[in-house]
Amino acid sequence: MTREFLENIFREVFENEALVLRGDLSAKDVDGWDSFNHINLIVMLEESYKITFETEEIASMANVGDLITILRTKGIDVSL
Amino acid sequence: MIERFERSLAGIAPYMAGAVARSRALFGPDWEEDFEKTLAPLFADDPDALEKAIKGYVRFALDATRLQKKFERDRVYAPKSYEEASSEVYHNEEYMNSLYIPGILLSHYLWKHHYNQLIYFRNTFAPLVKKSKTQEFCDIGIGSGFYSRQMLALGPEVRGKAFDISEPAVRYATHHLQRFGLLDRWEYELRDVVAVPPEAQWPFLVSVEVLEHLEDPTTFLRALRRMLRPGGHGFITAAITAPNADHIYLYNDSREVRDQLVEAGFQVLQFQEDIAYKPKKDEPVPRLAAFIVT
Repeated sequence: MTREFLENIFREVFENEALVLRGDLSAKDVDGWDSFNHINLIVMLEESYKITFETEEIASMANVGDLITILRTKGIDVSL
Repeated sequence: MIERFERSLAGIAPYMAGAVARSRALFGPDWEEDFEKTLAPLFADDPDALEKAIKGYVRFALDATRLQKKFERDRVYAPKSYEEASSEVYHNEEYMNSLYIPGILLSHYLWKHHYNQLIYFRNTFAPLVKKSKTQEFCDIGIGSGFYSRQMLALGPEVRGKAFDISEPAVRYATHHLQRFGLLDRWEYELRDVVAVPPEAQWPFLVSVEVLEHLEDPTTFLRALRRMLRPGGHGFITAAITAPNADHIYLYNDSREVRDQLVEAGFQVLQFQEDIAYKPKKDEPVPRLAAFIVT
């Protein structure tokens, strides 16, 4: 799974075609990344990657780097 | 403490960093003072407990948001029996301590409709207690002990007895009230008031956000009615279109709650309803309905 695939998910959820992923990207850097859009992101990630996140995993995703670490535990390797 | 709370919340869950600022903007300095007075006794000398509570709140809030999103599509709560909910939640010490109780406690301040319910309680129910010669209350389904504390804070003569089925809940409520120096006027009993009805009656009764946790709220309300002294007053509230891990009875409208209260023998004196947030279109949003009854 490519960086582009993941980046497109973020761009769609946050309605920002210029969004560029980096490991320390977090809610403080992205307009509209509140708890609702955090869940919207989760739902889209689950549908796109055909995976399920546990509440603990969702709560522990403070930035994109955390997300990528969790994706790796599910067999999805994304390099930024 | 609030600044420390805000920093910690932003570090743990950056997407929730705005929660304190939103409540501050909405409710002003009174809210700030109120929240500070709750945080300080519970967490000022225990930073680990604060971090644990915030992590619990984050999980609680994310769970609720995730379930709400599913509810917008399905318009039903996930099917679950009371026994299943009890096993997963009320009798699950880890879940109660790490997520549920801290979640409920902090939601009283960080969720608009929860704090508005507290304001309504203070403006409409509290005066009834303050002017009464007898100020004893029962609290059924105590959660974190929050509303028992609110009652006890109304005056030095207020005394209360809580009933709950959950050992983790009564343990936390005891800790909560001990931190505020209120244990000498409060006691609890682990009891299902429907299965084993108390013989006593109280002039005041509080039962906050219990009905949606039950398969048969009307039977529960009949039990509460028997616990309320004739002429007494109750503060009974329910969550509407608000899924949660242990919400099993779906109220689509506050009129359904009112109808059950009346069927159980209560007279509804006043009520208030509030939404958690404004819907973007016509999707259902979480609501709270609070009733003053006699």
